[in-house]
Amino acid sequence: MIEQTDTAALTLPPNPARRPVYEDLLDFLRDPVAAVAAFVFLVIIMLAIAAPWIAPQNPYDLASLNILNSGLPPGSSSLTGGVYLLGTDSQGRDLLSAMLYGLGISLAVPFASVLIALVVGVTVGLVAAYSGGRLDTLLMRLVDFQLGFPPVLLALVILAVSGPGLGKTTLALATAYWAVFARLVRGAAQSERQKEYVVAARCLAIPAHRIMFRHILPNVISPLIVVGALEWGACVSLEATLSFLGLGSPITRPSLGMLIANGLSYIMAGRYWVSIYPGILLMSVVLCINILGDRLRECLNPRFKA
Amino acid sequence: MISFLAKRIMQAVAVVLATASMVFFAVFIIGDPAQLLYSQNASAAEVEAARRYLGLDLPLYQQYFNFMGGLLHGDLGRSFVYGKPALGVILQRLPATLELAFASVVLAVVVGLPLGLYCGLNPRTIRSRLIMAVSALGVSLPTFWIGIIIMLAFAVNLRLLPTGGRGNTLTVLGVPWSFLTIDGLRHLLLPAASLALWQASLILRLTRAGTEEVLRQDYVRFARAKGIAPGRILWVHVLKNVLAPVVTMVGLSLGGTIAFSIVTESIFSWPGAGKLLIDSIYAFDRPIVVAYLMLAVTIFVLINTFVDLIYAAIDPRVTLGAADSGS
Amino acid sequence: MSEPDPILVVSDLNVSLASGKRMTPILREVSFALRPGEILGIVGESGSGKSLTASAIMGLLEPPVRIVSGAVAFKGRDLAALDEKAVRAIRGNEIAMVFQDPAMSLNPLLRIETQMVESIVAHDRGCSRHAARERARAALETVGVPAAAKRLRAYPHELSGGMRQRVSIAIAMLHSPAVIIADEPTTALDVTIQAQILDEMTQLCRKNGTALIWISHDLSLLSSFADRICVMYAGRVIESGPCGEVIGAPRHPYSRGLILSVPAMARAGKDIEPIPGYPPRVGMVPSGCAFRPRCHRASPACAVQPPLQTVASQQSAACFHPFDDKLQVPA
Repeated sequence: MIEQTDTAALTLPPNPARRPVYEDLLDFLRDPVAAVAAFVFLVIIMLAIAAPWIAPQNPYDLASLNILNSGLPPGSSSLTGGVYLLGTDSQGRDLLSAMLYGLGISLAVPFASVLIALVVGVTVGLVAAYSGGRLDTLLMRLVDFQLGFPPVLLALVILAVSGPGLGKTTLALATAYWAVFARLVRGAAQSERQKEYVVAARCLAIPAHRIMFRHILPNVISPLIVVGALEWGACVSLEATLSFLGLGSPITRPSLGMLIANGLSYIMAGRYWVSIYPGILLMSVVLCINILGDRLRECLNPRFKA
Repeated sequence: MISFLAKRIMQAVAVVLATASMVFFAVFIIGDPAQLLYSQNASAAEVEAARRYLGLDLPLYQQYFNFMGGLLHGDLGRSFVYGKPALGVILQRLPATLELAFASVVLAVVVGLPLGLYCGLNPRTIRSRLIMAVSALGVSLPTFWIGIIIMLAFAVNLRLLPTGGRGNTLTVLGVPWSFLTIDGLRHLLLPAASLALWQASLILRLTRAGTEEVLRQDYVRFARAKGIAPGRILWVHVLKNVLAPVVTMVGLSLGGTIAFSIVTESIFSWPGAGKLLIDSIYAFDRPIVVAYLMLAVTIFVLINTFVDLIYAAIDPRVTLGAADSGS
Repeated sequence: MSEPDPILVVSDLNVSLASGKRMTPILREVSFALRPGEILGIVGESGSGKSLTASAIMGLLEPPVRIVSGAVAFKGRDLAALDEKAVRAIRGNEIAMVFQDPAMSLNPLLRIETQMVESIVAHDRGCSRHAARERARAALETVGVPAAAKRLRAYPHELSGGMRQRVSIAIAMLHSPAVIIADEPTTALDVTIQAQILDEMTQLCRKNGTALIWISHDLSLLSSFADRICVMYAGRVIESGPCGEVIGAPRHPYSRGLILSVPAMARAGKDIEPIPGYPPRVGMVPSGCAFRPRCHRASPACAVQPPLQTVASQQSAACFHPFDDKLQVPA
């Protein structure tokens, strides 16, 4: 076999025959639960993006709020003549508008966090795997230390010290989640390193960073996407928890978690809607992301396992 | 065994010291507690006096050494709100949290393990699919939302159980416990259940996956080929192998449970350390926050050590000396 | 021809994989007989159905794989028709099995003693713990495990591969079964250990009068000790007969190809002759003779499945164009 060595064939990572993208998509949607989740999630995303145009009220415009309107049941009419489809919250905000705006925050903040965590984690993981030795040990000790600490507690403490805010929440969540990606990439990169195509690339004196990013990274992308999707779900959940505790989103720009918290004191009085509607929306978001993430894993698994 | 414990204790001390340093820099450098503690219109002299009282006027390294020195003596500062040693305030609240956490872990194991086993043994039945769907909800839903739903359903609408507090307690060893009285148990049930759902779902999924995996193993076929009765195969051959990873999971999720009890305690007004933490965060009572963190880290390290010991007891292939080099 | 009656007769065994309403046949019309004390070698490539045949005899098939028709008659009773409890009384007691990989077939979390004693007690309820332990120790000594008493207290991972397989064999022999089915029991071992274990096991079986079904993909290994040989291809027995005849004068083109592709058996001075192509996958077996696409003697007649028929005094083959000459023995 050695005589036949063809550098191009050896240095390229194994590339499964490409299928058209729509076929992958059809395959993905073959599972009815995933198809429903995909549809619902698409609607949710569109609602979040279109919020400024479709919301009956701008919940950030304090001038349009009237405390006299607080805690109205669904379907009541406002002092200015509009109808509050889902009632109002403790600040007299139209709940539907607040939810549509809050939805965007509940999706975007965790998404940004996962992106940051991904970039940091992948970099740390690749550096650790490639450098080896003491740096590797040090970085991985840090990762272990971090993973031994529940993300809720970490993010909570960071926000307790820094105070609430969208940017701060994003960073706190990213801090709580980067280690997962670092561990994943480092593990995958280490096993890829042993494989022949990487050994071959090293023999050809291809520079280290090129091997890392051009050869190893593409092979760990599938698991990264899957874990990233599932972490996004966990992050939405965690952001909601932090905002529920009043530590995440600021009072002026409430996310779904804070809307739920606002309604909590009303629940005992039977005015359930202030918490329940944002809660149902939050539940749908997290569930959709998790179902899609699980389906993604099912679909991608055979390819990165083979 | 002894060398394992010695090594573990040294590691634990290192972890706690590292955490202490991180906490110090995080908590004491970002922001100025004196600024936060006193109202905006406090005079410069008042703030300065406060800074001196809290030791904040000292150079940073000296503050650090004071902090670490205090830590070694078990002195984590005095609570600004309660005016008592922070550690003492937390230790007083800790039993309530531990009671809640253990109750939820027990509940999660009692529910998750048998159901996971059932789903693993009968993967194709409609009942298993239903159980799996519910567990998918269980791992997805935020704990606080589960708590609200449970409270709304059982306490507000059905009025079956109380909405919050610990109820009647019985004092044993100088500590009040809820689980020893009927009323206390009624108060314990909802918060424990809302904490347990997430864990039970995790345990269920792991048990199911483990059972399906173990059933495929040759040693199960060999046991059948030996003519061993199905009951013994299940309880001895399968269960023991399924249990090993589940024990680790339960141990690790105990840490998560203690962390999440912060949220649950706030919803159900359970007077534990978690609620104290949240109240202290709102009140800028930093010594309490710091003491809580140090205590939490210590508990997590203890749990991990304990989990390793149990794992080694179940699986003879694990030798304690090498247990820590793997990860 | 005064041979004793067979102790195990497998006749027209059909096993299928059920998926929804579709049934994919995996074993077709498998038939063979085993006489007391005889060593029967079953040979075939991976996927030919040889391991599945073992599982079917033992009643160890797991749904969705199941027996569709046919009989497994042991001492006159059809195992395929018995209920689970009755079969369990026979498994490990009168018919025992040894698996391929000793690292996988012993439970890693249980001591050797536990795994042997449970096997004794399963078929001998009255046996006391002490007596069972004593029997286990004796059984280990019989199969050549040194320091047996100490080994009883060990966990599987503390033993070498060869020792572990000896333990499996000792477990199989605990109740002096009439039949032992050994599914490639030496494949996972080092070559030197392989020979030792093979030797000890066949000798013990001959001494105790235990019939042995030895499943292997290694024809040259089987030819050194088997009394009779069955060749399987794509879920079917395509040739069977006494070892000497099947090796010396294989009738089916596949058997012949199998023998000629073994370097040691190929005639001296000639290259080995690999069989062209690959065996068919489950569910994609061609109609008629499954070997037809790879066979140079195939004719249009082969589009119909040839029955397994007698071609010489004790030899049968499923082929319309069987060879009738002996293989040239190297001069």
